[in-house]
Amino acid sequence: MLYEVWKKLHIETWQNTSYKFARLLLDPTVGDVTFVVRNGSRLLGRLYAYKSILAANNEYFAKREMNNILHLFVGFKTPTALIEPAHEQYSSPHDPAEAGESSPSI
Amino acid sequence: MTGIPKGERRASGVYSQLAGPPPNNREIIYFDEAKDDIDYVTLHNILYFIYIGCVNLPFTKDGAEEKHPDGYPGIPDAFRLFRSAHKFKLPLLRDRCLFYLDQGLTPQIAVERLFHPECESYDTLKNLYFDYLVANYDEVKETKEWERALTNDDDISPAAARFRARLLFDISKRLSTLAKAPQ
Repeated sequence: MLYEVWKKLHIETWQNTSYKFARLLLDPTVGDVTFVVRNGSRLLGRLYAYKSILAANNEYFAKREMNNILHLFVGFKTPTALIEPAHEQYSSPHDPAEAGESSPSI
Repeated sequence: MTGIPKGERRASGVYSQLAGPPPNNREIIYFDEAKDDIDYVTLHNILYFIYIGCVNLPFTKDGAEEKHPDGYPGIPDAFRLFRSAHKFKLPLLRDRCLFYLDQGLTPQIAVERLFHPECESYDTLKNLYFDYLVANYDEVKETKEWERALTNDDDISPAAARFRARLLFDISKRLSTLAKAPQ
């Protein structure tokens, strides 16, 4: 009986923690990577994540973090590419919704 | 592709970047092209799965009506989620999708998905639908989806048409083998 109570408590605690943790995906103030899903120019939504968590739990993102030349997959960006745009001329984001993206309140 | 400012890169092909130096090195990845083959709900489920190992693929019909906490992802298109799980190298999620896809099979769905051009790249899915179709051929042949596949009513690429033709050949071959087999 006690075991059942403990198990229930454990599951509920774990679930609640997980949900809280996963809700961070929707919080624009956290994370170091933003995923923007659009249909053409129409913004469908944004999700926010920590690269370290993604890399720790997933081979796709782990390789992306570790291997500079591996950018075979959609969305892959090498550290080189992070620096590269500095050589290009910057312009303002193309829509007001994206403009907010440039200054996340971290 | 829509108006992307200078300094940004596409998610597809290479990568994307916000114009200007990203604050705190925050990286921005865009998914906005057909070849990305992902929508918001699918991506939400993918990230959710990577974070805590859960997705919103209900095991039962009642499960679809189950209340979830705020921030829980919506129910994704399982076929698309399967493709994304494959792309993002998530074998557990892929199996979970496969289970879901297997549970909800009907003659209509089997035909529609088997003849979907994306199905060609996934042998596991192709075999699932192929076997179902052959096993339930009497029902399948009465569906509109089957009629459409046979008459090539959809506007598809030559490559997709070749895939369909090959499938039809394989189906007829299998049915013929089954007909010859001793009862």
